[in-house]
Amino acid sequence: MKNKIVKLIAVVIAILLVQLALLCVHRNLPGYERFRDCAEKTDVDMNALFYSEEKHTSDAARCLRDKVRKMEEVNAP
Amino acid sequence: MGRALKNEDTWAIIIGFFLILTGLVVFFISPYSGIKQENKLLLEELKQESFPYKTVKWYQVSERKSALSSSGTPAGDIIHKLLRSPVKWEYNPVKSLYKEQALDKTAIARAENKLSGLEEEALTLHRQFIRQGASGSQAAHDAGEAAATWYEAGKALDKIRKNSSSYNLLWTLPLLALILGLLFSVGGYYMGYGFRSFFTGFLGVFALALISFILGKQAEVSSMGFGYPIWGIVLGMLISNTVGTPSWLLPAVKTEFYIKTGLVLLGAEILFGKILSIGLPGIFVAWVVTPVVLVLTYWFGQKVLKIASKSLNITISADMSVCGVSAAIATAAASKASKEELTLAVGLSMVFTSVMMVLLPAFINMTGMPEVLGGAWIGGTIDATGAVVAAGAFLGETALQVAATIKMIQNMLIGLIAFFVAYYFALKTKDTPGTKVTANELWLRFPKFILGFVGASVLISLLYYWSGTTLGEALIDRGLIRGFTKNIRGWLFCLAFVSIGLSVNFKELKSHFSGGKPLILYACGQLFNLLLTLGMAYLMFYIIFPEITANL
Repeated sequence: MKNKIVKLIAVVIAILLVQLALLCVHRNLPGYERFRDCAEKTDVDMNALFYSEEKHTSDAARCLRDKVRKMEEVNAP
Repeated sequence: MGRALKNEDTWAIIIGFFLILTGLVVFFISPYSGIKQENKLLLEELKQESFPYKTVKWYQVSERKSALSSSGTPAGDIIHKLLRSPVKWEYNPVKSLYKEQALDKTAIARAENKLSGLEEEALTLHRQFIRQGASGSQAAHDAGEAAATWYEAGKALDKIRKNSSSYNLLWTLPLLALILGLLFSVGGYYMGYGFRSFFTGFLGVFALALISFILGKQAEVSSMGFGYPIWGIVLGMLISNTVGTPSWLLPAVKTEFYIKTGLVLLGAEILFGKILSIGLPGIFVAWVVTPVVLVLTYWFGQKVLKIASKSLNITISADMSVCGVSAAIATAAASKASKEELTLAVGLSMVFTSVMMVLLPAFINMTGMPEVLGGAWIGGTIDATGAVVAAGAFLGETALQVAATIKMIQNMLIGLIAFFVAYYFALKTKDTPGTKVTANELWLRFPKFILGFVGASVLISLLYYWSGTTLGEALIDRGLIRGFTKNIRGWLFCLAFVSIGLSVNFKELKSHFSGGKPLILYACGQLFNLLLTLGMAYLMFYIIFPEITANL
């Protein structure tokens, strides 16, 4: 049992260290601060796997559709 | 019939469709006529506001129209609250579950005063324009500007109110655990795991899923893209590989059961009517490049890297070329990949995505690439949809729109790819290779949950098409999907990730990683994906359809 608990603590520490290393890498990526600002501004959920960001994809699709429609109306004879 | 009821796929379809039909009753059928009527009234009001600029009333009405949603009905609101997952937190994890209303009364009063002043000003200028009539072009400009300023101030006030709103998940979460537990325990009972033992185990798995959600919602961790999937796996693995998974949890550690049900729900979110926004160029970038990259990466893994496990190879290839974690889940289920193989694919995707989502837009900015091209490149190559939206926003509004739309078009391939992978693996894994496979044999081996996934997609797409875009968005996008299926699917995937962790063995995982082949496969495939997507995006948006690009 004692061995198992030591193992558990060691793994928790290892995970925290990995997380810390990743955080350090991220902080030093070029453009990271600006990226975070943009993500916060657009209120994007970075946990999103797929259509959790449906709000953004739908809005984006609607805006583009409107732009393309306007263009088609202008080009129509 | 008895044999079918013992099958996991059957129960995934039963539970998935039960949930979708419940959602349809609450979010589509019962509010349909009310929302239709309200939409009609708002349209008429909008028509009356025909001035050469947007008036205060126009903003008010169009805001109400774009916010029309079946989530706003009393039943929709209760369900939306019930399914809510933990909220983002920074220093205090309790804040992800509970927050009292913290109204900044002075700030709100100040914002309200400012807003009413701006409204008065906008209305005065509007009246002035009406008095001057067609001759008042300067008055029209001033009135339009004043109304726009009033609108922006209104949005700022809404934001203050939203930030100070309260929530309490302490009563909704036990209720949700109970409902989901009962639902899945019925399936567990028929599959022979015992109702009570399944239910008890389910509560334990749900508690771990909740912890994973909370860990993934920490602001710093979340901004890196490391959400609940990775925390669910890590937490489960921590337990199973150190103290060991407790025996009372085991009956409910059913990864595939949760994944398959979640995938049936995911089918309801794939709407075929929404793909035509940027027409052919987007479809070419998303639908031509993706299958080519998928097949070539799989071929590369088999012939060059000689990866022993075909299922690991296809799961990583789909995960990298389509849409990350969800594609990995669907392909792993279709190819019957092991839990260790899925874990490896998910881990690779999340690490690569977390770096690419920052570096790719920074590189595009540095090279001065046009926004449309940059957006298309991001949409076609970064795995997770959330990361695509944020990376697109880094470049600008148009890039965000192009990136998110291309991702959405690409996401639609998930069902088709899962279908073909299932078919291919059903053929490949037959007992006597080389002989002709019978339809009956193929049916027996075919993962039936894919039919539930495709069926849900067809059903909801037809309803979306039938009700028209405006009602479709109010009832299905903002109602059924945003208020129901995406939240419940999030919980199911989280339960699946915890179950993966609880049954994954470190040694087995290590053996799959031998020689770093999966890493090489992912990196080479992604490099190929980057080059091909850039080439195709350039060809489509700048050579073949430049007139579309010019107007974006």
